[in-house]
Amino acid sequence: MPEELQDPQVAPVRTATRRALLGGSATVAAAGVLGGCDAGDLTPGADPEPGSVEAEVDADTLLVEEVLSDVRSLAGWAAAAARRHPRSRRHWAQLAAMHEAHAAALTPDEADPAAPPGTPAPGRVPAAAAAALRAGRAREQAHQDRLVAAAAAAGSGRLARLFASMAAATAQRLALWPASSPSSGAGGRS
Amino acid sequence: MARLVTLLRRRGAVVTARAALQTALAAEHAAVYVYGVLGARTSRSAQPELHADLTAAYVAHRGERDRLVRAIRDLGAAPAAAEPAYQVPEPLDGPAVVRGVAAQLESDCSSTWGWVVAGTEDALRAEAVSALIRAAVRELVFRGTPEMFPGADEHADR
Repeated sequence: MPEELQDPQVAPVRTATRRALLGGSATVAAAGVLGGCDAGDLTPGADPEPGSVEAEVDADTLLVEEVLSDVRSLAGWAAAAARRHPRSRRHWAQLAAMHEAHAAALTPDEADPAAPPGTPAPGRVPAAAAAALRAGRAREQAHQDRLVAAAAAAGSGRLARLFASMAAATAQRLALWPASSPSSGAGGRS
Repeated sequence: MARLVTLLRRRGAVVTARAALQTALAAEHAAVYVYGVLGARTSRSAQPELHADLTAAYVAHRGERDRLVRAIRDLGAAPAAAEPAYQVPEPLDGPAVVRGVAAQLESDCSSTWGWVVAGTEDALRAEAVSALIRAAVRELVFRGTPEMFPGADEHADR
């Protein structure tokens, strides 16, 4: 890889700033992914002025919290769909597993990636299987769009890559989305 | 694009972005070559679906390559030329092996684009995110099963 990309240009400033920012419980979840920003962070245009970097990390912390909330909601919805529609349980369970893995990637190692108490319910799953598939697809497409926007907005290059990867994983699930009902198969070719 | 270049220069990022795009271009040059070989080793009549998938991927990678060439020129650099040849895994005996090689190729391209996402900003990053998503969906065509973290394997074992 080119040497220009291996230089952790802003590591010292970013480390001190993040520790100060992540002192509160409200931002603890963001430490999971932002914790990886020190070494090898490829952010090319990070401003060397401490104030600017602090603002960037703060914005990234909020981004992680927003995306994590979205991911937890989708995981809960998919799990509820798996319970409500046992014939398509495999599809929904695999989707829930993806979101749980994404939540874990956004959560520090010592924290529980599951939704904390008090988290709003993920929404009602339609009783009809076909309607549930349509609603789930719309939710996942909107989620992918939000991940693409989050990747564009992230100040940290490493965080941007994680959001982009999550968007790509969601795109793969959408490409395999069942057409209408469990009996119609997995949808995409395999 | 001129405004973007100005912004990147102001923030001292143009060299980094250029290097990231040149690396992606090298990967796309290789992909175009390897898909040419895979297509040539696959019978259109005996394996029509695989041949169509390979052809679609070949066309897609030519598009990625051409977009990169334009982006690198916009940054004021000369796009890296393709190598005369690239190493292709041998033997390519059978459709399953060909699919496996294609899946690995797309996985490598996904990783490269993920790396470009991390090394760019603004419009260039947006392009890289789109390219990563396209590569991941192409990989799915050959791999058959989705992944948790396309292009960011370091998260897969968490």
